[in-house]
Amino acid sequence: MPKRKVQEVEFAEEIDAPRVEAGNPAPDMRSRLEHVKSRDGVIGYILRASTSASVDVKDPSKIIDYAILSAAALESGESLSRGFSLGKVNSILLEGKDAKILSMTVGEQKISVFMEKSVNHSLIYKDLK
Amino acid sequence: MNEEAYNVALKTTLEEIKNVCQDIRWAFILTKNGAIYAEDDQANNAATEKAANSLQTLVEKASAVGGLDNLLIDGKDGNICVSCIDDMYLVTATSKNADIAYLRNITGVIFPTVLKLLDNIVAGPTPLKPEPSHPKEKVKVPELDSEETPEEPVSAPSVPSVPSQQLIVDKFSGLMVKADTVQVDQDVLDRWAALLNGKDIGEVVIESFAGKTVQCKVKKIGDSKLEGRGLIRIPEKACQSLEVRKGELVRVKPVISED
Repeated sequence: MPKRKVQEVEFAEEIDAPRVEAGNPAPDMRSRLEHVKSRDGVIGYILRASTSASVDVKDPSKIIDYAILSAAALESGESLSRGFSLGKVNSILLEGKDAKILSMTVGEQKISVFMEKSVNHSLIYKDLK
Repeated sequence: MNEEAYNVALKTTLEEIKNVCQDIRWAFILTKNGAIYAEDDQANNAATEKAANSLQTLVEKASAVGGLDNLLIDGKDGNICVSCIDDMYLVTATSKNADIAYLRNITGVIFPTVLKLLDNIVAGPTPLKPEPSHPKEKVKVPELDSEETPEEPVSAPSVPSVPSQQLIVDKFSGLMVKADTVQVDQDVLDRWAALLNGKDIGEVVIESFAGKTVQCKVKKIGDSKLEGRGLIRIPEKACQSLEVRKGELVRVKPVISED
């Protein structure tokens, strides 16, 4: 795999676990996400800050679908919260038939963790908050 | 039973659930075809409609995890809980201290029971389920698309079910650059053409991480040094529209004209 400069895509060595990076992700949150990803059943994560993005998902064919879902979940969460006066959104948990996604905003960083339905998302929330 | 009777039955169910769960501030039902059932003061409310639109968008995107079964938004001053029941979504906004598990248990029992009763009463298809769209007129099916996607609706914009391609963005600019034309590998164009029985690919739809889409003309990458790298060269202006930067991934699909 060719090495590329910052802001270009760089694939991890394992073919089944690509990592897409752009910019300079926050190191603290990145290490916490790496810890979360090591948990059983965690499929991957997406971390977006104002000037950086980091994606680590096991199935490369799902990266964009997950990224779009992550953005949609965060946007819908904010929109619904505004509509019903719920105040600041702490977390958004979306469960599907195959997997679930936990999204949250920490500072300026928008995080989504994808996991199997059996995973205890409360523990992941605690890890990241 | 007509639509009005359904409406009354579902509204009554909502009222009863609110009576049981005092923490519910707001509740409505959204069907998969976009109909909203709510108490009168909430039915035509802008917040309800906006929430319904927002949820419909999310439901579409949730196919990545097998659809939307449950959604819980934990806010500082309250929660929103969405549960999929048959062909409907029950949306409830609750106070912060609401017992979500209890609420889910209640709704998980009451709603399926009511819906089953309604279905038993109704003779014929349920009006709440979206009717299959059978085009009244015989529509002209694009020849090249007919083998690949026989069920593709033809009246819609002609984006066939050719597999989309994930490509890496390479931004480019210059005086001679056409702002409406992107460049991809000849291999990619050939693969799409083969899937479409040799049809030339003139345009593509590009979708970014953030869900932004842009339709552009397409041609093969001019610079031989950049070939075979899985790149899509996108003019600067189009990058701005897509809100993407160099190195990010986008999803690219060919557009087939109807002629």
